[in-house]
Amino acid sequence: MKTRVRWNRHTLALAAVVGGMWYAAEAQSNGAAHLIALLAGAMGALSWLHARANLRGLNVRLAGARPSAQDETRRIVVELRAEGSVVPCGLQVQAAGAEKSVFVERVPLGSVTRVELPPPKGTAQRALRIVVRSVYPLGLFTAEAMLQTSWIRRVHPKPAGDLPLPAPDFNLQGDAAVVAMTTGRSSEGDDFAGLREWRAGDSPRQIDWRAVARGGPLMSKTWGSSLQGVVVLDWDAWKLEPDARASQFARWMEQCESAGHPYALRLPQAAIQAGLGPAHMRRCLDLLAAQTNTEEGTATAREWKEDATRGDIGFEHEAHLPARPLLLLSLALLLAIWPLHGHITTSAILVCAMSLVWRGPLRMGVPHVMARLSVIAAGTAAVWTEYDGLEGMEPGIAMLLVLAGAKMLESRTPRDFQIMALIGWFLAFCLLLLDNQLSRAVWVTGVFLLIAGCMARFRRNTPGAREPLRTTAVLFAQAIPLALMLFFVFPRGLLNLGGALGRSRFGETGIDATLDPGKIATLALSSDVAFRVRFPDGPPPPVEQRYWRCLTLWDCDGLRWRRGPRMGHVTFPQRPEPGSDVRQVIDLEPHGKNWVPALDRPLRATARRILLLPDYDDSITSPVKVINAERIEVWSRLQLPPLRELPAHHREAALKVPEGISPRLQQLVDSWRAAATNDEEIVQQVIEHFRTQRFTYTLDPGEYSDDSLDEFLFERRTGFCEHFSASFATLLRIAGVPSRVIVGYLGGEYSDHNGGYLIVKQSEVHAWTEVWLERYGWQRIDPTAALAPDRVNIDLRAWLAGGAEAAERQRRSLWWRTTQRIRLLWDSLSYAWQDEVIDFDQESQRNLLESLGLVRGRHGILLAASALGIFLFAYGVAWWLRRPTRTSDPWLSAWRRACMKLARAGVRPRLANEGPLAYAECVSRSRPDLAEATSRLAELYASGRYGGGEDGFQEFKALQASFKPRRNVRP
Amino acid sequence: MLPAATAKTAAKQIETVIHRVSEIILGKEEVVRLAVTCLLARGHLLLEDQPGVGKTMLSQALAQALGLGFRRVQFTSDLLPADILGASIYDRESGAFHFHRGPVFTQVLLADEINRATPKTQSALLEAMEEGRVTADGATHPLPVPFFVIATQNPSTQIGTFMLPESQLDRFLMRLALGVPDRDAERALLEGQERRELLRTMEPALSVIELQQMQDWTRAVHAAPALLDYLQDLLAASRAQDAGLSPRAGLAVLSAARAWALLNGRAMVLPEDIQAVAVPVMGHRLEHAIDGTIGAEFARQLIAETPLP
Repeated sequence: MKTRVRWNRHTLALAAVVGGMWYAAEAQSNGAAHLIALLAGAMGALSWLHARANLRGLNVRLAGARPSAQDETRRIVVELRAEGSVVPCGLQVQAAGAEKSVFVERVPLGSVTRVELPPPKGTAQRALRIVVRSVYPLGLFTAEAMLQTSWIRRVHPKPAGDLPLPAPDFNLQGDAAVVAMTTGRSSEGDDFAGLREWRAGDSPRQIDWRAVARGGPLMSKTWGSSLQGVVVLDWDAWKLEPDARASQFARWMEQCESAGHPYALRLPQAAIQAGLGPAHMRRCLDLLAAQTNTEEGTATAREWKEDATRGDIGFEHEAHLPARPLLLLSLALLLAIWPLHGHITTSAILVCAMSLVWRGPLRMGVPHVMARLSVIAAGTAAVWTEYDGLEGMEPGIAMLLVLAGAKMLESRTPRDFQIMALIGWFLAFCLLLLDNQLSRAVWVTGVFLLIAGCMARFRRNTPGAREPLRTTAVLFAQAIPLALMLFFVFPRGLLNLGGALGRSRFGETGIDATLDPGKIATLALSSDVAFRVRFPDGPPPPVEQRYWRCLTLWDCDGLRWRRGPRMGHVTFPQRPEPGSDVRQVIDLEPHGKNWVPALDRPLRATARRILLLPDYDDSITSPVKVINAERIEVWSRLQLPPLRELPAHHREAALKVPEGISPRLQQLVDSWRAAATNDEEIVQQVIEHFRTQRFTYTLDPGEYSDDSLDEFLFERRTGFCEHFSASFATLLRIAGVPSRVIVGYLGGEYSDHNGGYLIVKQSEVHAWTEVWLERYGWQRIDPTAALAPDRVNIDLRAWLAGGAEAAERQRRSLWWRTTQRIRLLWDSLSYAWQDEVIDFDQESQRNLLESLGLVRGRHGILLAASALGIFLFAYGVAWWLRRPTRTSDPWLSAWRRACMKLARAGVRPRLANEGPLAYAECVSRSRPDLAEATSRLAELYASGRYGGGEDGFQEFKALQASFKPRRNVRP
Repeated sequence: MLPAATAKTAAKQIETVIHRVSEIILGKEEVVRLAVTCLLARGHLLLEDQPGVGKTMLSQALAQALGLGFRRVQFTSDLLPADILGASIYDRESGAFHFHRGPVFTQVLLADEINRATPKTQSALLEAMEEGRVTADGATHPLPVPFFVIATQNPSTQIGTFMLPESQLDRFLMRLALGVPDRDAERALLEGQERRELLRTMEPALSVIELQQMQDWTRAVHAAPALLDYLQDLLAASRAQDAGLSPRAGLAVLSAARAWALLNGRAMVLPEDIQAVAVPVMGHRLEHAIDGTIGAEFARQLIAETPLP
C-alpha cells in the first residue's frame, strides 16, 4: 500500500487564516495573537502527521468477486483491517474510476471491516485500484492510500450490433462431443450424416472401426442432430471496429445461447472450442475482453492524480451536512463571539448569533438568497451607523461577524462546514485583539480547541466526544512546543507594521481628566488591574506612603474639578539619590489618556527610552496617549522636596473659587478664617469640621444635584473620597489657602510571585488634596484619612466590609487565605502573561537571542533558524513515522525491529511476504558476517511465533536488543 | 505437539528416501521432495508433463524406495471402470459371484495418462481415491493402506485426451510438472546405467510401519494461530477472483505445509512451508481460464502479494 498526504483547498484556507492572524498580530504588536496564530499553524501542520498516521496501520485487501459490464450492480468487496495502534477513522473507500465511494466511520483494531464498493465505470481496462482517502482529523490535509491489485478488470463487451448470425460450420461436428459433455445433451441423433476426420475428443463409439479395419484413416461417424453445426466466431473474418466487433460477437453469443447452437471463438492469439452454457459464454467473453484490452495494468502517477482529484470533489459535494456536528460547531462559535460583547457593537453580534442559532439549535434550513443578502445588508448598515464607516479594527471585526453569520446561513456542504470552522478560529482569535487579559486568552484557547474538536468529530462522523477530544488534546500537546519554539524564534516585524492598530480596552476604565461626583466611586467597583509595580532596589514603601499620583486638578467648580489650562513653569530637574529615593518599574495597562502613575512625588521617569520630567503640577505626563501596555521606570522622593517659590500665576490658579458661593458657606469659612492665625490652623479647622459634623464615608453616596457643594456640606454629608477632597480643597480656596486636588491610586496589594510586586487595581482609585503652606510648599493632606483613618491602611473592600478589625479577622480565615493565594497566583500569571507573552515583540526577541549569545537578531538569520527548527521537527516526525507499526504481538514487533536494523545496515529489507528463515538465509548469503546472529534470531522468532513456545522470548528480546549490525565495508 | 527431536529424526529418514529416488531421477530433487511431501500428507499426486520425462520412473522409484506395492494401469480410451476396480465374476464351483480385485488394490498406483480414459472411467478411479474403498455389487472392499495414486496426464494440447474437469482435479493434493532435465543431469542420464537396472537393485529406505508413523507425525505438526491467519489471508486473497480456493483447498495447503515442515525437520509450520507448497497445491485448483499456466501463475502472484500478518 502506497500512502501519501497531499494538501487540499482547505489547506489554502488554513494558510489564509493563519496569515491573516499573523498580519493582525503584527499590526497590533500583540504577542498573544502571535502565539495563537502560531498555534493554529502548528495544529494545522501537525494534522498532516495525524492524517498520515490515521492510514498507517490500515490494510486493505480484496475479498469479493469482481464486477463485469453485464452485472453493474455487483459490488467489489474489500476488507479493511487496522494493524497499528491507531484506529483509522473517517475513511472514504472507492474503486478508482467509480463514481461513488463508501464512507467508513472507523475500523476497529483487530477485526475485519467489510465494505462493498460500487464497481468502476467505463470500459477502460486496467488493473483494479482501491483508493482509501481520509481527511481526518481536521480536514486540512487529505491522506491517500492506494491498493494496486493485479487483477485486470475484464469488461465484457456489451452485446450490440444487428448483423445476421453467421452460418453454422458443419465441418466441425466433432466438437459436438464437447457440447455433449458440457451441456449433458447427446449429440447423437438418429440419422447417419456421414463421415469426417477424427478429432480430439470424439467418443470411441463414433469411430468408424470398420473403415479402420480396412486400413483407412481414423474416421468418425456423425449423426443427424449434430448437423446443426457450430457457429464459428472468427475475429479476423469480420471487418469491423474492434469494439463494435466485440459487441457483435457478444450479441451472437447471446443468440446462440438462446437458440441452443454451439459456438466456437477464434481470436488471433487464442481460441475456444465449441460449447454452450453460461460457463462457456463467460470464458468466451473473458477472452474477448482480453482481446480488446490494450491498456497497461498499473497506474501511472498521472492516473493516480486524476483519480485523487476526481474522488475528492465527489466526496465534498455528495455528503450532506449532518445536523449534530453543525449544532456543536454553532455552539462553539457562540462561545467564541460571546465575549466580544462590550467591545463590538451588539447588533453585529446579534446578527451572527441569530444566524448560528437558526442553523444550529433550531435546525432550520438554508433561507432564500434574498433573505441572506438582506441579513448582510442590515448588518452592514448597523455597523456603518455605529462606527460611522467600516475602517478600523472594531468595524472590521463587526463586519466579519456579519459575514460569518451570512455564511452560516448558507452552509450546505462539508466544505462550508470546514470554512465555518476556520472562520470560527479567526473569530476566537479576534477576542485577543480586543482584550489582553490572561483569562481571555485561556477562553480563546478553549474555544479554539473546541472548534478543532468539532472538526475532528465531523470528519469522524461517529457519535461520541471522547475520541475527537483525545485527538484534539494530542494535537494540542504536540502543537504547543512547536508554536512556542516559533514564538521565540520566528522573526517579528517582517511586515513592518509596528503596532499600527491600537490595543485593548482603554477609555472604559481608568482615571479621567475630570473629577465628577460619583465617578471615582463607580471606578472603584472595577476589579481590573490599573498597573503593577516592581521595586528593584528594595522592599515596597509602607502602606501609608503608597500614594500613586496620576493627575493634578486645578480648576475648581464646587464638587466638580477640572484639570484646567496648562501653565508655564520652571523645571528644577533633580537627580535621584539611589539610597533614599525609590525606584519603581511600573507596568501600566493602557488607559487611553496621557497620565503616568508614580509614587508621590515623582522626580523623573523613563518610558521607551524617553526621559519624562514632572510637569508644572508635579505629575508626570506622557507626550502620547497610553494605548499600549507600557513599562515605565520612575524615581520618586517620598519626603517633601525642598521648598520653592509658588509662581504668581500658579497661586492665582490655586485660589480660584467658583462663582455663586452660598452665604452660609461663606459664613462658615469666614468664621474659620477669623479664628485662625495661619493657614495650618485653617486646614486643621476644616479637618475638624469634617470629623465632628457627622460626615460619613461611603462608596454609594447617591447622586448630587448642581448645587452639590452645599448639599454635601450641610445636608447629606455622605460622600466618597472624591467628595471629601473636592469640597475640602474648595473650602480651603474660599478661605484663601492655595490648594489643588490630586487623583491617583492609594495602596496596592503585594504579591510575592515573580520576585515580588505590587498590584494596583482600579478599585484603589483615590483622590486627595494638596495645600500650599508657606513653610513646606505643597503639602499632601488626605481628608479621607482624617475621616476614616483605616481606609488608608487597608484595602477599600476590606474597609467597606467592616474596618480594620473585621479585615484582620477576615484575613485569618482559611477561605480568605486560600482565595487570596489563588488570586495572587492568577495575578502573577496574568502579569507574566502580559510581560512575557503579550509584550514580546521584535525588541524582546532580539534581546532574548542576544542574551543567549546566539545571533544578532537579523531577519534572515531568524528565518534561517526557524526553517532549521521546522526542518528538524519534520525530520523527527519522519523518523518517528518510519518506526514499525506497533502491534499487540510482542514477538512480531521485536522481529520487525530486528529487520529494520538489518535494513539500516544496508541489507535488502525484508519483503512483506518473506518468512523468517527465508529472510535469514538471504541475509546470510549477502552478509556472511551477520549470518550467525540473524539465523539465531530467525530461529527463535520462528519457534516463538509459530511454534507456540513462549520460553525463548527473553532470549530473543535480549538478542534483538544487543543486535547491532553495522554497514558493510565491502572488501 | 510433536517433539522437535522426533521431527529431526523423521527428516533424516525421509532424506534417505529422497536421496535414493534422486539417484534414479536425476536433477529433479525439488519435484521428488514435493512428491514425498504429498505422500506424507496422504494426498494423491498428479504429474502433468510431456511423455518421456520420467513420470513413470518417478512413481516406480518412489514405491520402491518406500517399500510399497506398486501397480500400474495404462489408461486408454476404451478402458472401463471394471478394468481398474475389479469385477464380480461367477464362480461355477462355488455357484456364487466372486469379486476379482482390480489393479487399484495396491499401495502405489500409477494411473498412466489418466486423461486418455473416458470421464466415466476417470471418475471411478477418483471415487476410489477419495473414499479409500471400492464398492462393487453392494459390497465394500477397503483399499490397502497407505494408498497413494500417482496419475500422469499429458498436456491438453495432445490429441485424443479428456482433460480432467475442475472438480476432479481437486481430488489431487498436488500437481507437479517434471520438465526436461538440465544439461548436466541429462548428460549423467545418458552416460549412466540403465535406469530400470538401478531400480531393480534399489533397497527400500522405509518400512510401511515407519511410513505410516510419519504420516501420523505429519498430522501432529503444529500450526500456530499466526500461521493460520496467514493461510486465511491467502485464501481470502484468492477469493477476490471468482474461482477462489475452497475450504478443502485450505485444508490441503495446510496438510501439505505440515508435511513439508516435517520434511525439513521442523515440528511447526512456517509461512515458508506454505509458500513452498503453494504453487503445486493451489495451481490446479485455481485453474479456470483458457490456458493451463494461469493457475500456477496466479498462485505465485498470491504468494507474492499477500503480506505476512
